[in-house]
Amino acid sequence: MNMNDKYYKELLEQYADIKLKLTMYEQAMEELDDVDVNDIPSEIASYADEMYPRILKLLRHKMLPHSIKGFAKKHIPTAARVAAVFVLFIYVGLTVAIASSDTVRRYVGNFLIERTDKYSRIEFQVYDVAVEVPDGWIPNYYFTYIPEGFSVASVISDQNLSTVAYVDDNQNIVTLTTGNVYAYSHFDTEDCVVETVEFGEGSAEYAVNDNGNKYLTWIVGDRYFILRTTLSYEQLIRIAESIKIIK
Amino acid sequence: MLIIPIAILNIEVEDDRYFMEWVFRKYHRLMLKRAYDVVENLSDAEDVVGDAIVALIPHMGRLRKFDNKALIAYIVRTTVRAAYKYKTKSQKQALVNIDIEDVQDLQSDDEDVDAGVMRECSVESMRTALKQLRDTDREILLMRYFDMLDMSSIAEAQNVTESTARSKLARARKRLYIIIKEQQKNEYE
Repeated sequence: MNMNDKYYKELLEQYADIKLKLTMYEQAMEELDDVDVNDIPSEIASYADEMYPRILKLLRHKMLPHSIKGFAKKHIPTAARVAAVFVLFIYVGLTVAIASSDTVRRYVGNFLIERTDKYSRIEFQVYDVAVEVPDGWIPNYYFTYIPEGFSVASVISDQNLSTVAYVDDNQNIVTLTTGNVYAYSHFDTEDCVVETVEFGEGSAEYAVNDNGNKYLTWIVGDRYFILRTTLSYEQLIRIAESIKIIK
Repeated sequence: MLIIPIAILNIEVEDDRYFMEWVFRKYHRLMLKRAYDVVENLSDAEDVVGDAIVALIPHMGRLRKFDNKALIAYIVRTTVRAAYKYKTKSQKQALVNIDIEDVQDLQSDDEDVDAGVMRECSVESMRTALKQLRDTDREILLMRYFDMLDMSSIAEAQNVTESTARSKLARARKRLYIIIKEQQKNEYE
Protein backbone atom coordinates (compact mmCIF):
# COMPACT_ATOMS: atom_id res chain seq x y z
CA MET A 1 0.00 0.00 0.00
CA ASN A 2 1.51 3.32 -1.03
CA MET A 3 0.91 5.70 1.89
CA ASN A 4 2.36 8.56 -0.14
CA ASP A 5 -0.34 8.27 -2.74
CA LYS A 6 -2.30 11.50 -2.42
CA TYR A 7 -5.60 9.93 -3.43
CA TYR A 8 -5.15 7.07 -0.95
CA LYS A 9 -4.48 9.60 1.80
CA GLU A 10 -7.61 11.49 0.87
CA LEU A 11 -9.66 8.31 1.04
CA LEU A 12 -8.25 7.45 4.45
CA GLU A 13 -9.02 10.94 5.67
CA GLN A 14 -12.62 10.68 4.42
CA TYR A 15 -12.90 7.27 6.07
CA ALA A 16 -11.67 8.76 9.34
CA ASP A 17 -14.19 11.61 9.02
CA ILE A 18 -17.08 9.22 8.49
CA LYS A 19 -16.08 7.10 11.47
CA LEU A 20 -15.81 10.22 13.60
CA LYS A 21 -19.24 11.39 12.42
CA LEU A 22 -20.77 8.02 13.30
CA THR A 23 -19.09 8.04 16.68
CA MET A 24 -20.22 11.57 17.48
CA TYR A 25 -23.76 10.82 16.34
CA GLU A 26 -23.94 7.90 18.76
CA GLN A 27 -22.35 10.05 21.46
CA ALA A 28 -24.92 12.83 20.95
CA MET A 29 -27.76 10.31 21.15
CA GLU A 30 -26.31 8.90 24.35
CA GLU A 31 -26.00 12.35 25.89
CA LEU A 32 -29.64 13.02 25.08
CA ASP A 33 -30.62 9.99 27.14
CA ASP A 34 -29.52 11.96 30.20
CA VAL A 35 -31.88 14.81 29.31
CA ASP A 36 -35.52 14.63 30.31
CA VAL A 37 -37.08 16.61 27.48
CA ASN A 38 -40.48 16.67 29.18
CA ASP A 39 -39.23 18.05 32.46
CA ILE A 40 -40.09 21.73 32.05
CA PRO A 41 -40.59 23.56 35.38
CA SER A 42 -43.91 25.38 35.59
CA GLU A 43 -42.18 28.75 35.95
CA ILE A 44 -40.43 28.31 32.60
CA ALA A 45 -43.44 26.76 30.91
CA SER A 46 -45.71 29.63 31.87
CA TYR A 47 -43.08 32.20 30.81
CA ALA A 48 -42.79 30.48 27.44
CA ASP A 49 -46.54 30.20 27.01
CA GLU A 50 -46.97 33.88 27.75
CA MET A 51 -44.19 35.07 25.48
CA TYR A 52 -44.35 32.85 22.42
CA PRO A 53 -47.97 33.08 21.24
CA ARG A 54 -47.25 36.69 20.30
CA ILE A 55 -44.36 35.57 18.12
CA LEU A 56 -46.43 32.83 16.57
CA LYS A 57 -49.15 35.36 15.81
CA LEU A 58 -46.60 37.61 14.13
CA LEU A 59 -45.35 34.68 12.11
CA ARG A 60 -48.85 33.67 11.14
CA HIS A 61 -49.71 37.10 9.85
CA LYS A 62 -46.28 37.47 8.32
CA MET A 63 -46.11 41.06 9.53
CA LEU A 64 -43.76 42.77 11.86
CA PRO A 65 -44.49 46.01 13.72
CA HIS A 66 -41.18 47.59 12.72
CA SER A 67 -41.63 46.67 9.10
CA ILE A 68 -45.12 48.11 9.04
CA LYS A 69 -43.84 51.33 10.57
CA GLY A 70 -40.93 51.49 8.12
CA PHE A 71 -43.17 50.69 5.22
CA ALA A 72 -45.68 53.37 6.18
CA LYS A 73 -42.99 56.03 6.61
CA LYS A 74 -41.43 55.27 3.29
CA HIS A 75 -44.44 54.70 1.09
CA ILE A 76 -47.37 56.74 2.39
CA PRO A 77 -46.23 60.10 0.86
CA THR A 78 -45.73 58.44 -2.50
CA ALA A 79 -49.01 56.59 -2.20
CA ALA A 80 -50.84 59.85 -1.52
CA ARG A 81 -49.57 61.35 -4.78
CA VAL A 82 -50.35 58.24 -6.72
CA ALA A 83 -53.84 58.08 -5.22
CA ALA A 84 -55.01 61.00 -7.36
CA VAL A 85 -54.04 59.17 -10.51
CA PHE A 86 -55.47 55.96 -9.15
CA VAL A 87 -58.97 57.42 -9.10
CA LEU A 88 -58.90 57.27 -12.89
CA PHE A 89 -58.63 53.54 -12.64
CA ILE A 90 -61.53 53.16 -10.23
CA TYR A 91 -63.31 50.65 -12.41
CA VAL A 92 -60.29 48.41 -12.47
CA GLY A 93 -59.96 48.83 -8.73
CA LEU A 94 -63.59 47.99 -8.19
CA THR A 95 -63.24 44.81 -10.18
CA VAL A 96 -60.23 43.75 -8.14
CA ALA A 97 -62.03 44.59 -4.92
CA ILE A 98 -64.99 42.45 -5.88
CA ALA A 99 -62.79 39.58 -7.00
CA SER A 100 -60.93 39.56 -3.72
CA SER A 101 -63.95 39.86 -1.46
CA ASP A 102 -64.87 36.91 0.74
CA THR A 103 -68.29 36.52 -0.85
CA VAL A 104 -66.90 36.15 -4.31
CA ARG A 105 -64.07 33.91 -3.21
CA ARG A 106 -66.44 31.48 -1.64
CA TYR A 107 -67.58 30.53 -5.11
CA VAL A 108 -65.29 28.20 -6.94
CA GLY A 109 -65.43 28.32 -10.68
CA ASN A 110 -64.28 26.41 -13.66
CA PHE A 111 -63.12 28.48 -16.56
CA LEU A 112 -64.94 27.20 -19.65
CA ILE A 113 -64.20 28.00 -23.26
CA GLU A 114 -66.88 26.94 -25.75
CA ARG A 115 -65.68 27.18 -29.33
CA THR A 116 -68.16 27.65 -32.20
CA ASP A 117 -67.64 28.34 -35.93
CA LYS A 118 -67.99 32.07 -35.48
CA TYR A 119 -66.83 32.80 -31.98
CA SER A 120 -65.55 31.38 -28.72
CA ARG A 121 -67.63 31.86 -25.59
CA ILE A 122 -65.83 32.14 -22.26
CA GLU A 123 -67.60 31.73 -18.93
CA PHE A 124 -67.25 30.52 -15.35
CA GLN A 125 -69.17 27.47 -14.25
CA VAL A 126 -70.02 28.20 -10.64
CA TYR A 127 -70.60 25.32 -8.25
CA ASP A 128 -74.12 24.96 -6.96
CA VAL A 129 -73.78 25.75 -3.23
CA ALA A 130 -71.32 28.09 -1.61
CA VAL A 131 -70.10 27.07 1.82
CA GLU A 132 -69.04 29.62 4.38
CA VAL A 133 -65.35 29.17 5.19
CA PRO A 134 -65.12 29.43 8.98
CA ASP A 135 -62.85 31.98 10.63
CA GLY A 136 -59.42 30.63 11.43
CA TRP A 137 -59.34 28.02 8.65
CA ILE A 138 -55.83 28.23 7.15
CA PRO A 139 -55.48 25.65 4.32
CA ASN A 140 -56.31 26.64 0.77
CA TYR A 141 -58.80 23.80 0.41
CA TYR A 142 -62.39 23.70 1.60
CA PHE A 143 -65.76 22.15 0.88
CA THR A 144 -67.95 23.72 -1.75
CA TYR A 145 -70.76 21.39 -0.74
CA ILE A 146 -72.14 20.41 2.64
CA PRO A 147 -75.59 18.76 2.95
CA GLU A 148 -78.38 20.92 4.31
CA GLY A 149 -78.86 21.12 8.05
CA PHE A 150 -75.18 20.88 8.95
CA SER A 151 -73.40 23.58 10.91
CA VAL A 152 -69.80 24.01 12.07
CA ALA A 153 -69.15 22.43 15.46
CA SER A 154 -65.40 23.06 15.75
CA VAL A 155 -62.39 24.33 13.81
CA ILE A 156 -58.78 23.63 14.71
CA SER A 157 -56.32 24.92 12.19
CA ASP A 158 -52.64 25.70 11.91
CA GLN A 159 -50.09 25.80 9.11
CA ASN A 160 -49.55 22.04 9.19
CA LEU A 161 -52.71 20.34 10.36
CA SER A 162 -56.34 21.45 10.26
CA THR A 163 -59.64 19.85 11.22
CA VAL A 164 -63.19 21.10 10.81
CA ALA A 165 -66.26 19.27 12.14
CA TYR A 166 -69.89 19.68 11.07
CA VAL A 167 -72.96 18.20 12.80
CA ASP A 168 -76.67 18.21 12.10
CA ASP A 169 -79.74 17.79 14.34
CA ASN A 170 -79.72 14.00 13.81
CA GLN A 171 -76.20 13.75 15.24
CA ASN A 172 -74.74 13.03 11.81
CA ILE A 173 -71.20 14.27 11.47
CA VAL A 174 -68.86 15.35 8.72
CA THR A 175 -65.23 16.00 9.64
CA LEU A 176 -62.38 16.95 7.39
CA THR A 177 -58.76 16.66 8.47
CA THR A 178 -56.05 17.91 6.16
CA GLY A 179 -52.35 18.08 6.75
CA ASN A 180 -49.08 18.71 4.96
CA VAL A 181 -45.86 16.71 5.02
CA TYR A 182 -45.07 17.81 8.59
CA ALA A 183 -48.35 16.70 10.11
CA TYR A 184 -49.26 13.28 11.41
CA SER A 185 -52.82 12.00 11.79
CA HIS A 186 -54.40 8.69 12.43
CA PHE A 187 -57.83 7.13 12.46
CA ASP A 188 -59.06 3.91 13.95
CA THR A 189 -59.31 1.12 11.39
CA GLU A 190 -60.10 -1.58 13.93
CA ASP A 191 -63.06 -3.69 12.70
CA CYS A 192 -63.09 -1.65 9.49
CA VAL A 193 -63.47 -2.96 5.98
CA VAL A 194 -60.84 -1.11 3.96
CA GLU A 195 -60.71 -0.92 0.18
CA THR A 196 -59.18 1.22 -2.52
CA VAL A 197 -61.68 3.17 -4.58
CA GLU A 198 -61.38 5.34 -7.66
CA PHE A 199 -61.53 8.97 -6.72
CA GLY A 200 -60.96 12.06 -8.84
CA GLU A 201 -58.11 11.34 -11.21
CA GLY A 202 -56.55 8.80 -8.88
CA SER A 203 -57.55 6.60 -6.00
CA ALA A 204 -58.46 6.88 -2.33
CA GLU A 205 -58.65 4.54 0.65
CA TYR A 206 -62.19 3.93 1.82
CA ALA A 207 -62.89 2.41 5.25
CA VAL A 208 -66.19 1.67 6.97
CA ASN A 209 -66.78 0.22 10.43
CA ASP A 210 -69.72 -1.39 12.26
CA ASN A 211 -70.80 1.92 13.76
CA GLY A 212 -71.48 3.37 10.34
CA ASN A 213 -68.45 5.64 10.35
CA LYS A 214 -67.05 6.01 6.86
CA TYR A 215 -63.58 7.33 6.11
CA LEU A 216 -62.07 8.43 2.84
CA THR A 217 -58.37 9.31 2.70
CA TRP A 218 -56.52 10.65 -0.30
CA ILE A 219 -53.58 12.81 -1.28
CA VAL A 220 -53.31 15.88 -3.47
CA GLY A 221 -49.70 16.96 -4.07
CA ASP A 222 -48.02 17.23 -0.66
CA ARG A 223 -51.31 17.43 1.24
CA TYR A 224 -53.45 14.61 2.57
CA PHE A 225 -57.13 14.59 3.39
CA ILE A 226 -59.21 12.45 5.75
CA LEU A 227 -62.95 12.82 5.40
CA ARG A 228 -65.17 11.10 7.95
CA THR A 229 -68.95 10.95 8.00
CA THR A 230 -71.88 8.91 9.21
CA LEU A 231 -73.79 9.74 6.01
CA SER A 232 -74.02 7.42 3.01
CA TYR A 233 -71.11 6.46 0.76
CA GLU A 234 -72.60 8.54 -2.07
CA GLN A 235 -72.78 11.60 0.16
CA LEU A 236 -69.23 10.96 1.35
CA ILE A 237 -67.96 10.95 -2.24
CA ARG A 238 -70.00 14.01 -3.16
CA ILE A 239 -68.65 15.97 -0.22
CA ALA A 240 -65.09 14.80 -0.93
CA GLU A 241 -65.34 15.77 -4.60
CA SER A 242 -66.57 19.21 -3.60
CA ILE A 243 -63.29 20.05 -1.85
CA LYS A 244 -61.59 22.68 -3.98
CA ILE A 245 -58.91 25.33 -3.79
CA ILE A 246 -60.58 28.37 -2.30
CA LYS A 247 -57.93 31.10 -2.55
CA MET B 1 -37.29 38.91 20.89
CA LEU B 2 -38.27 40.00 17.40
CA ILE B 3 -35.20 38.20 16.14
CA ILE B 4 -37.18 34.94 15.94
CA PRO B 5 -39.96 36.08 13.57
CA ILE B 6 -37.45 38.15 11.56
CA ALA B 7 -35.15 35.16 11.16
CA ILE B 8 -37.95 32.77 10.25
CA LEU B 9 -39.74 35.15 7.91
CA ASN B 10 -36.48 35.79 6.08
CA ILE B 11 -36.23 32.14 5.06
CA GLU B 12 -36.86 32.19 1.34
CA VAL B 13 -38.36 28.77 0.72
CA GLU B 14 -41.89 28.46 2.05
CA ASP B 15 -41.52 24.83 3.13
CA ASP B 16 -38.38 25.68 5.08
CA ARG B 17 -40.17 28.59 6.72
CA TYR B 18 -43.00 26.35 7.85
CA PHE B 19 -40.51 23.76 9.07
CA MET B 20 -38.67 26.27 11.26
CA GLU B 21 -41.94 27.62 12.58
CA TRP B 22 -42.89 24.05 13.47
CA VAL B 23 -39.53 23.48 15.19
CA PHE B 24 -39.96 26.67 17.17
CA ARG B 25 -43.56 25.93 18.12
CA LYS B 26 -42.81 22.38 19.17
CA TYR B 27 -39.56 22.89 21.02
CA HIS B 28 -39.58 26.46 22.34
CA ARG B 29 -40.26 25.33 25.92
CA LEU B 30 -37.43 22.82 25.82
CA MET B 31 -35.09 25.40 24.29
CA LEU B 32 -36.00 27.97 26.93
CA LYS B 33 -35.43 25.42 29.68
CA ARG B 34 -32.01 24.37 28.36
CA ALA B 35 -30.98 28.00 27.88
CA TYR B 36 -32.16 28.86 31.38
CA ASP B 37 -30.09 26.00 32.83
CA VAL B 38 -26.98 27.78 31.55
CA VAL B 39 -27.70 31.50 31.82
CA GLU B 40 -29.97 31.23 34.90
CA ASN B 41 -32.10 34.19 33.90
CA LEU B 42 -35.36 33.97 31.94
CA SER B 43 -34.87 37.19 30.04
CA ASP B 44 -31.37 36.13 28.92
CA ALA B 45 -32.66 32.65 28.15
CA GLU B 46 -35.20 34.23 25.84
CA ASP B 47 -32.39 35.96 23.90
CA VAL B 48 -30.50 32.68 23.75
CA VAL B 49 -33.50 30.94 22.17
CA GLY B 50 -33.47 33.63 19.47
CA ASP B 51 -29.75 33.07 18.87
CA ALA B 52 -30.30 29.30 18.75
CA ILE B 53 -33.07 29.62 16.15
CA VAL B 54 -30.77 31.77 14.01
CA ALA B 55 -28.02 29.16 14.43
CA LEU B 56 -30.37 26.33 13.43
CA ILE B 57 -31.58 27.91 10.20
CA PRO B 58 -28.46 27.24 8.07
CA HIS B 59 -28.67 23.55 9.07
CA MET B 60 -32.28 22.98 8.06
CA GLY B 61 -31.31 20.54 5.33
CA ARG B 62 -29.80 18.20 7.92
CA LEU B 63 -32.50 18.79 10.52
CA ARG B 64 -35.16 17.64 8.10
CA LYS B 65 -33.35 14.33 7.61
CA PHE B 66 -33.10 13.64 11.33
CA ASP B 67 -35.53 11.44 13.19
CA ASN B 68 -37.19 12.93 16.28
CA LYS B 69 -34.48 11.96 18.74
CA ALA B 70 -31.61 13.23 16.63
CA LEU B 71 -33.54 16.43 15.96
CA ILE B 72 -34.02 17.01 19.68
CA ALA B 73 -30.35 16.24 20.33
CA TYR B 74 -29.31 18.78 17.72
CA ILE B 75 -31.70 21.44 19.01
CA VAL B 76 -30.61 20.90 22.61
CA ARG B 77 -26.93 21.05 21.68
CA THR B 78 -27.40 24.19 19.58
CA THR B 79 -29.33 25.89 22.38
CA VAL B 80 -26.79 24.99 25.04
CA ARG B 81 -23.97 26.14 22.78
CA ALA B 82 -25.77 29.44 22.13
CA ALA B 83 -26.29 29.82 25.88
CA TYR B 84 -22.61 29.31 26.69
CA LYS B 85 -21.66 31.71 23.92
CA TYR B 86 -24.09 34.26 25.34
CA LYS B 87 -22.70 33.78 28.81
CA THR B 88 -19.10 34.00 27.64
CA LYS B 89 -19.84 37.14 25.66
CA SER B 90 -21.33 38.81 28.67
CA GLN B 91 -18.26 37.90 30.68
CA LYS B 92 -16.15 39.47 27.93
CA GLN B 93 -13.47 36.81 27.81
CA ALA B 94 -10.39 37.76 25.87
CA LEU B 95 -9.61 36.02 22.62
CA VAL B 96 -6.61 33.73 22.76
CA ASN B 97 -4.38 33.75 19.74
CA ILE B 98 -2.03 31.05 18.63
CA ASP B 99 0.71 31.01 16.06
CA ILE B 100 -0.66 29.60 12.79
CA GLU B 101 2.58 27.67 12.12
CA ASP B 102 2.01 25.70 15.29
CA VAL B 103 -1.33 24.55 13.90
CA GLN B 104 0.13 23.62 10.55
CA ASP B 105 2.79 21.51 12.30
CA LEU B 106 0.12 19.64 14.15
CA GLN B 107 -1.86 18.97 10.99
CA SER B 108 0.97 17.89 8.74
CA ASP B 109 2.33 14.79 10.51
CA ASP B 110 -0.53 13.82 12.71
CA GLU B 111 -3.08 13.30 9.99
CA ASP B 112 -1.07 10.42 8.59
CA VAL B 113 -0.91 8.86 12.02
CA ASP B 114 -4.66 9.46 12.47
CA ALA B 115 -5.56 7.87 9.18
CA GLY B 116 -3.42 4.82 9.86
CA VAL B 117 -5.02 4.27 13.26
CA MET B 118 -8.48 4.97 11.94
CA ARG B 119 -8.16 2.31 9.28
CA GLU B 120 -7.99 -0.36 11.93
CA CYS B 121 -10.22 0.82 14.77
CA SER B 122 -13.95 0.29 15.08
CA VAL B 123 -16.63 2.85 15.91
CA GLU B 124 -17.15 0.96 19.15
CA SER B 125 -13.53 1.39 20.19
CA MET B 126 -13.77 5.07 19.28
CA ARG B 127 -16.80 5.36 21.57
CA THR B 128 -14.82 3.77 24.38
CA ALA B 129 -11.88 6.08 23.75
CA LEU B 130 -14.18 9.08 23.62
CA LYS B 131 -15.29 8.43 27.18
CA GLN B 132 -11.71 8.88 28.34
CA LEU B 133 -11.30 12.21 26.60
CA ARG B 134 -11.57 15.51 28.43
CA ASP B 135 -14.96 17.22 28.19
CA THR B 136 -13.51 20.12 26.22
CA ASP B 137 -11.99 17.79 23.63
CA ARG B 138 -15.19 15.77 23.34
CA GLU B 139 -17.19 18.95 22.89
CA ILE B 140 -15.09 20.28 20.04
CA LEU B 141 -15.26 16.91 18.28
CA LEU B 142 -19.05 16.92 18.66
CA MET B 143 -19.20 20.43 17.26
CA ARG B 144 -17.21 19.43 14.21
CA TYR B 145 -18.59 15.96 13.51
CA PHE B 146 -22.16 16.01 14.85
CA ASP B 147 -23.12 19.69 14.73
CA MET B 148 -21.14 19.92 11.47
CA LEU B 149 -19.95 23.43 12.27
CA ASP B 150 -17.24 24.97 10.13
CA MET B 151 -14.09 26.24 11.80
CA SER B 152 -15.25 29.84 11.99
CA SER B 153 -18.48 28.80 13.75
CA ILE B 154 -16.55 26.62 16.20
CA ALA B 155 -14.22 29.52 16.86
CA GLU B 156 -17.18 31.81 17.43
CA ALA B 157 -18.87 29.32 19.75
CA GLN B 158 -15.68 28.92 21.79
CA ASN B 159 -14.87 32.60 21.68
CA VAL B 160 -11.41 31.97 20.27
CA THR B 161 -9.73 32.75 16.97
CA GLU B 162 -10.18 30.41 14.04
CA SER B 163 -6.58 29.25 14.18
CA THR B 164 -6.95 28.43 17.87
CA ALA B 165 -10.10 26.46 17.16
CA ARG B 166 -8.29 24.55 14.42
CA SER B 167 -5.49 23.81 16.82
CA LYS B 168 -7.89 22.66 19.53
CA LEU B 169 -9.65 20.32 17.11
CA ALA B 170 -6.38 18.83 15.87
CA ARG B 171 -5.26 18.26 19.44
CA ALA B 172 -8.56 16.68 20.42
CA ARG B 173 -8.28 14.30 17.48
CA LYS B 174 -4.68 13.53 18.36
CA ARG B 175 -5.59 12.74 21.96
CA LEU B 176 -8.41 10.50 20.78
CA TYR B 177 -6.07 8.57 18.51
CA ILE B 178 -3.48 8.20 21.24
CA ILE B 179 -6.13 6.59 23.45
CA ILE B 180 -7.25 4.34 20.60
CA LYS B 181 -3.66 3.32 19.92
CA GLU B 182 -3.17 2.43 23.56
CA GLN B 183 -6.37 0.41 23.49
CA GLN B 184 -5.14 -1.46 20.41
CA LYS B 185 -1.77 -2.03 22.04
CA ASN B 186 -3.41 -3.46 25.16
CA GLU B 187 -5.57 -5.76 23.02
CA TYR B 188 -2.50 -7.16 21.25
CA GLU B 189 -0.76 -7.77 24.54
